[in-house]
Amino acid sequence: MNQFTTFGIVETILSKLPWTLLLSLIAFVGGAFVAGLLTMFAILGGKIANVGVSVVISTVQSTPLLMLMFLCFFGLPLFQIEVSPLLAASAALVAFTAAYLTEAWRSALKAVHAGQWEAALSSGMRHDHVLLAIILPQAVRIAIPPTVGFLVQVVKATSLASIVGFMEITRVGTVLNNITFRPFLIFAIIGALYMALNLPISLAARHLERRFNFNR
Amino acid sequence: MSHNAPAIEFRKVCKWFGDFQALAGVDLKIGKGERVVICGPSGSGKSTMVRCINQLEQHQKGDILLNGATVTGNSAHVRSIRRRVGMVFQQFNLYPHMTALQNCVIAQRLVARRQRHEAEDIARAYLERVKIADKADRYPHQLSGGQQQRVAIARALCMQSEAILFDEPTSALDPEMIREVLDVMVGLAQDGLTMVCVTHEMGFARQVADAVVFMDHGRIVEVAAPAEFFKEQKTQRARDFLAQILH
Ligand SMILES: Nc1ncnc2c1ncn2[C@@H]1O[C@H](COP(=O)(O)OP(=O)(O)OP(=O)(O)O)[C@@H](O)[C@H]1O
Ligand SMILES: [Mg+2]
Repeated sequence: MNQFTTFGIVETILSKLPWTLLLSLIAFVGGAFVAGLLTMFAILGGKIANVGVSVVISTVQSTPLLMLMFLCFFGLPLFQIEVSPLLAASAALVAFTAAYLTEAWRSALKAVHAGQWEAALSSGMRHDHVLLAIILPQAVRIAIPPTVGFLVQVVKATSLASIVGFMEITRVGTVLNNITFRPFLIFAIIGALYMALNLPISLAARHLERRFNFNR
Repeated sequence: MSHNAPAIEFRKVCKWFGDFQALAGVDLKIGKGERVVICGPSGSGKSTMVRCINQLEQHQKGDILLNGATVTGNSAHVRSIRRRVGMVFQQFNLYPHMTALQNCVIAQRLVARRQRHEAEDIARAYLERVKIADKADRYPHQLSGGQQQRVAIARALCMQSEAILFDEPTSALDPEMIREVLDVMVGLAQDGLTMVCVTHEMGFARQVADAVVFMDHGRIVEVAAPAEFFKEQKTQRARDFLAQILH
């Protein structure tokens, strides 16, 4: 039964690394896309849209990610929607990411000084032109560091997908542990992998923070 | 747009922020090419009054006319009014992600729909006019406060509007930079630009203003030619105010 060598363990874990990466990518790209739509909707859609978006965000944010995973995995089939572990995990992670990024981006837009709006509007510019040409470029600079920083959270959060049976590195780790009973080795490897993924991201975030801080 | 209508006219304008009345029946006529200086204690409604002209604030009662036509209306109408009235702010409000030149070009492109080369030529001409053409490619954070404010004035001039509103354009500046901005403004005044200027620079008022407006508690308390106003104030409040700022 216990036929895994140390090398075999490493190899098996690494073979699931692409799934962790894929899930992170889906979560981040999908979440960013949804967040982009929600942010625009909240900013351009008037007061009701803004409040509506706030309600959605705080609902998602006050629910543990684990519950979102369960809800997607066990809840969607109740509506006759077939879900694979990948789909359920992706949906939950996209919601999780979108909620955070919408909040971050909306506050970045609000953080642009009101005088910028006033200067642009007073020259006769259209609301949407002001948003695109004047406010957005400044908001992007404000939003880049927290956005990149959140990528770290997303990568770590993919480990929760193991709970719905999605075979990424954490899941393969628990399975391997059940077979080999070498938890220290296995989880040290997995922990090191997460760190290896996240360290460059953290460094990039810090670099961008310095780079885009142009206002002194 | 009657031919001899005042450039800007306030008719019994009232403005509330919630329960607080910031403007309490303001009446004023500003003729074409006139320079009006507005002064008064903090909170008296000077900024609010000026900002109602281009509808950065909306008044609830009365009317404001630009060349005989009301400034209020739907957003397209308000934009057309704003296009005809420039504004210079206390905090400059230059776009920090754009160079001085780009700051002067953007609204020309998006609002006046000028071609890029035409807009840039105009921008350079006005940057020259405010004596900062050599810094056209600098970003705002690379400029001193006085230089930034001169760029902001050039930006407003580029729209070639009928009047320019100034809201305390020198109040955020270090003392040694006030002069360079005032010099530019004196030059504009001498060229016959219609100017509405909130300022406590009484030297400027004396030098170029056709009328000094003194405000208190949302009302215009006195309007007079500067020579008259500085010689003898009709109200105690104006006397107290002048005594305070001239000490
Ligand atoms: N957005 C706002 N909401 C609520 N109250 C406001 C708002 N803007 C101005 N006020 C109030 O209206 C009054 C007039 O303000 P305003 O800014 O016009 O005064 P001001 O004469 O320009 O003063 P200052 O010299 O300090 O610039 C003040 O009492 C101010 O607190
Ligand atoms: Mg003011």
